[in-house]
Amino acid sequence: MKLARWCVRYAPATNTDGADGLWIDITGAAHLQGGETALLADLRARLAKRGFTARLGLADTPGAAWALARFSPRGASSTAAAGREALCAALDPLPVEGLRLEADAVMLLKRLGLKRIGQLRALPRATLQRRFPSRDAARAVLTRLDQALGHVREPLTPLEPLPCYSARLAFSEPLISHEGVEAALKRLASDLCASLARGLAGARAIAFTAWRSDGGTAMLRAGFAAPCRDPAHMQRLLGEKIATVDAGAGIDLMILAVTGVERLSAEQASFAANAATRPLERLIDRLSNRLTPGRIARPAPQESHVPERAACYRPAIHFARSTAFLNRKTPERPSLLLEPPEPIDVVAEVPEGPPLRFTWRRAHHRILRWEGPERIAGEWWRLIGNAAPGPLERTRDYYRIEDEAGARFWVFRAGLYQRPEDEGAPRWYLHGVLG
Amino acid sequence: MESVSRIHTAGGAEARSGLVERLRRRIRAIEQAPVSLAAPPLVDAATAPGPACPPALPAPRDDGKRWTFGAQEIDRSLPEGALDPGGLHEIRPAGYPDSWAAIAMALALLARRRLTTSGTGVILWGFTEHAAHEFGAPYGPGILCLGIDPADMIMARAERGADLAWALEEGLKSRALCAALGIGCALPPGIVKRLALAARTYRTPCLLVPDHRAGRLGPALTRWRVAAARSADPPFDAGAPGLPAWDVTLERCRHGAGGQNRVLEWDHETHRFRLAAPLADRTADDGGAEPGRLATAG
Repeated sequence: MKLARWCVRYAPATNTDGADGLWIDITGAAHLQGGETALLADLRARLAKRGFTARLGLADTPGAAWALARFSPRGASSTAAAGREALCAALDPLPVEGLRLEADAVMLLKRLGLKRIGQLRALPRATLQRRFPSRDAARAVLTRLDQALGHVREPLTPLEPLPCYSARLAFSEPLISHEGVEAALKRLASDLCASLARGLAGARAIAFTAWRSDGGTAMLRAGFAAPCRDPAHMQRLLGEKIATVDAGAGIDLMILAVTGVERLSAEQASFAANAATRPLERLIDRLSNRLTPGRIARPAPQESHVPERAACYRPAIHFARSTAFLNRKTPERPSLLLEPPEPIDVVAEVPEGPPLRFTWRRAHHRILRWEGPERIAGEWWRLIGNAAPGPLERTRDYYRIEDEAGARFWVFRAGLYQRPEDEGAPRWYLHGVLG
Repeated sequence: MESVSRIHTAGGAEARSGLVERLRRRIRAIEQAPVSLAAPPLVDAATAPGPACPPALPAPRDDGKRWTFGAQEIDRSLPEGALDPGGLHEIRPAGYPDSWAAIAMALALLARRRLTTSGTGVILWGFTEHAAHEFGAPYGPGILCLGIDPADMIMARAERGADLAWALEEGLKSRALCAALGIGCALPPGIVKRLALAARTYRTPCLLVPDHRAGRLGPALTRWRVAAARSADPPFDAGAPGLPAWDVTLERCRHGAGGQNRVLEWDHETHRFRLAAPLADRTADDGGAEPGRLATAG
């Protein structure tokens, strides 16, 4: 897995293949390394440096590359030239195991005398199909053959989603100093923003990956509350984390890729550029990227009459300002809500009355003023199929009370005295302090 | 000889305090006049219908309106009759049970502050994990009840006090906020100084509600000590708790008179502090002339 991620240095689409293999889709990426042969040589050398002995195969289709890597007689590194005929020529001498078949299918083919892919390919499909015990087994073999030959497309799922925009920077001499990394980051950010500007796009999330020459990789991510193509801002967000990158023996390749993209038209960008507009989004970006997005939140209302579910927090980096609060006037609520409500010892009038005195956090309070009850029923749809609902799912009677010192509390009684047999005795809780 | 000199110095002090008071009154009069420095005088003369019109358009940021309590008795003890938005203000609970009162009063002050930005400013509310556990987590409907739209708040839930301080400082420096609020934190003096500097440089107020046991914050422009106070009868329900009431002491006020002690009520409908009824009656005789030393200055 780690190795597959490391291989992104060659091309963005890579993933592991079984326990002992991995693939790289180098479509359109080989020229960056000076051609396919140079790429394979480079890959072999780097893997050898990390202590891997590898067999490499390169072909037009994933199936053929798989077969070449594992069964090629021509040594540890083999390439099939482009084109249908070259592909067939490369595959024909390989054993049928090269088709990624089940063990019993291989056994059957061998018993039939079909040892090479070429022999299998020469047979008419209909006759081949008849030799198999079941239609599915036959179809599996034929599909594999078609995939290897490129008659059937074989989609591969890469480890990381493919970025639409990215910028890369390779160094002949590995970078060691932090200043160097920061300078490189600056260049990458401005390259990336230039290509974003050409596509009228802005980044919502970026990932910065650095490859160390000793084989490790380091990855930093950053998110944005508003689409961004401001290199200084990107650099600032990543720059705070860059101290955590262990340069080790030096960094020889860096890629800055956009992992989340959104439209951002040119007008907006120029508007944003002339003043320090969007300072709030920038602030949210900076806070969220350092303190993790979940910690920087905007309150939002929720559809529920149960107080603790009536409001929630949503990460400010993903959600815009909610507008629905103002038309939801409620009776007085505490500005801070205890989560969960804390049980209190209460002396109260039975069956229905306000607390006369209570004990909370080892302090005693005598009540002088009170208002209530405000009855809030539990949400019945949560009780369906719930054999033993918790005490907080019961009907609550809320009271606003004030003690001798003027401290005001918001307390409730969960449950009713009228129905003790099916719910047990009511309990009192303190849900918040009204300032 | 001795007695003469004493009389002399006492007289001098009295004359000086009278002079200061006169000057203050003049400054106040100048500041309350509807002259806006932001608008060029030519345009003003041409379009203004009369001298007594209040500033119609809210000026950008702080310049148009001032951050007052809306209660003259307390505004009078502040320098220039208003809180200075460019600085740190400490709102200290008198004891542990008063922590919620202090937080609520800080929110009420923020609601007043938002009036100066025509009710649209964004507030960064930073709190630590520990504070959320101890006092509860900010609750939207309750914030709305104090007169601030919670949608305009950004909550920063920091793991440690250092993260909280960093978030507040970033917020102050961003110029995106109308105010920053930090609660339940015990910050080292160096960091408090940084916050005060950022608040002054970027003209964004920072309100801190420290732990009641924490040390005094040196660089604060004002320090308020807040305790819960019994509320008055609401008009239609005699036994019920009334408007939130706090026993507020201005412990320290840079360039102003400290030591004032008042019981204030917060009316979230009108976004206005007012003196609680029994005290409001009494202010007629002890107001103005003697900036009282009722509470021990700390």
